[in-house]
Amino acid sequence: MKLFFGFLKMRFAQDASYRTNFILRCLTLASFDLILPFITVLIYLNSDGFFGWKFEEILIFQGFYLMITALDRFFFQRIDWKLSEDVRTGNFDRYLLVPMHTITYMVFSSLGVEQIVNFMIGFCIIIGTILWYGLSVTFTGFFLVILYMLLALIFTTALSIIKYGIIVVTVTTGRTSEFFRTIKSYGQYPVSIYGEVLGTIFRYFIPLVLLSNEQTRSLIKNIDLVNTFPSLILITLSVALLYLISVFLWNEIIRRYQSAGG
Amino acid sequence: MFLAMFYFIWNAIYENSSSQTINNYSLNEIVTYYIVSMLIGHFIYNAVSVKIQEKVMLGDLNPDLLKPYSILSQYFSIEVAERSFALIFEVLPVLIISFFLFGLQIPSLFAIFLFSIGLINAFLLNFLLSFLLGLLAFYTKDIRAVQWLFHVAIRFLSGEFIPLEFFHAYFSFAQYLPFYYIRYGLIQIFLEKEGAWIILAQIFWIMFFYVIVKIAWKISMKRYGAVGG
Repeated sequence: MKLFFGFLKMRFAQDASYRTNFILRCLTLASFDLILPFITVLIYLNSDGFFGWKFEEILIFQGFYLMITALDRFFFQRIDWKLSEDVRTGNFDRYLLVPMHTITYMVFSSLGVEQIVNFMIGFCIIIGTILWYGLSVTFTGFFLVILYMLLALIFTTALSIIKYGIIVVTVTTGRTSEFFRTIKSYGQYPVSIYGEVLGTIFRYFIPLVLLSNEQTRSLIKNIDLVNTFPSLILITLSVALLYLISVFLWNEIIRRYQSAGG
Repeated sequence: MFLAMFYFIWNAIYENSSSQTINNYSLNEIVTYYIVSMLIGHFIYNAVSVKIQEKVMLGDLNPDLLKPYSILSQYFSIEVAERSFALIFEVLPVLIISFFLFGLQIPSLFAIFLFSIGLINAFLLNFLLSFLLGLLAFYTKDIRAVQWLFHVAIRFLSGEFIPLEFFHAYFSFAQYLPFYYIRYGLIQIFLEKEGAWIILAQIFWIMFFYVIVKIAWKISMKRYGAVGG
């Protein structure tokens, strides 16, 4: 934690040197990420929307998605291009010599602090919607949201580790990053729209439901703990398995990695 | 994969809708809208603003200025070559996959003819807009954030994310902007909802921005002081 805050402070100091550019970057990122909720609003203004999802529920859905995406990008997004470039030029070897885990070092040294704005926007959408529509939130719902947020973080970590492994092996970023981004974008909308087969895959095999679906259901659909327990256990197991696979893959790739020097 | 996602989204919306059409779009038309939008996106893409910015920042513009043809035609030739490549490896696969998987609605031959001309015009218009944006690099150190904001605006106001009809009256001004003719107008030709006037409007905007680019380039060159010179 001490290291994390040290790196965070350093990143803030770096961005503070180019304040205008930093503020502009925050604004542009926020404006781009606000498109999704805005489109959803337009869809709901022009149609009956998605079956089983009211307007206010889908707004909260988008709020959670923004928050989780911001968290994901805060830790992992800046690494992609740098990693590919460093592997290509041989600079990646330096990471392996640092006295901490390679991925931890990569993550800490590339924090995307501008994502805090997006996180706050997502948070404000959720709070604003709850207050505006007078929705009731239970303690169980809140507890489940925290639990699913943690699982979401582990899930996105696992996906990122797999992505970094692919980048180290292929030394290319463009399509690899795009592929993972596209997969994650399937979590932008309720899993029920993808039909039974894909819905099951997105729930238990590649748990994209953790990017917003489960948090929204827990918070406002008054899910009781007993009924959701089997699903929660399965999703947790799936995330744990995915994480273990990602760590195993990364360790194997690093074991076989030959530096630029041979 | 993106197309599949849009397909699922709109399929779910139409299944839950009490009407067969939403804002005069049937499900098949809206799916076609996104497919054509994606095809146009692949075809008109260019990175000219980024290239200009990098060259200005690193001082690499000098060799280009010494070449016996204008910067505009140099960069245009590069982009044409890159898009020709993309036409085969990006546009055609999307077209074929969409036709078989998502039931892409094929229009009449005349509409295809108009669409093809419009597509080339859209490429030209987008190129000129990007070039103009790239010239900002002569005035500011880092234009990446402005570029990003501009691209978001283009994509949004050209109807990439959702048909402009969904904006109702709030965004009716969009039809007076050039972005409208980069994507949305073209899709309407493909869907046979609009005709040749879109092409005429595109030509007007191309001529307009060509003049602006020429003037802006001259002004920028007066400001430009190369490293060592």
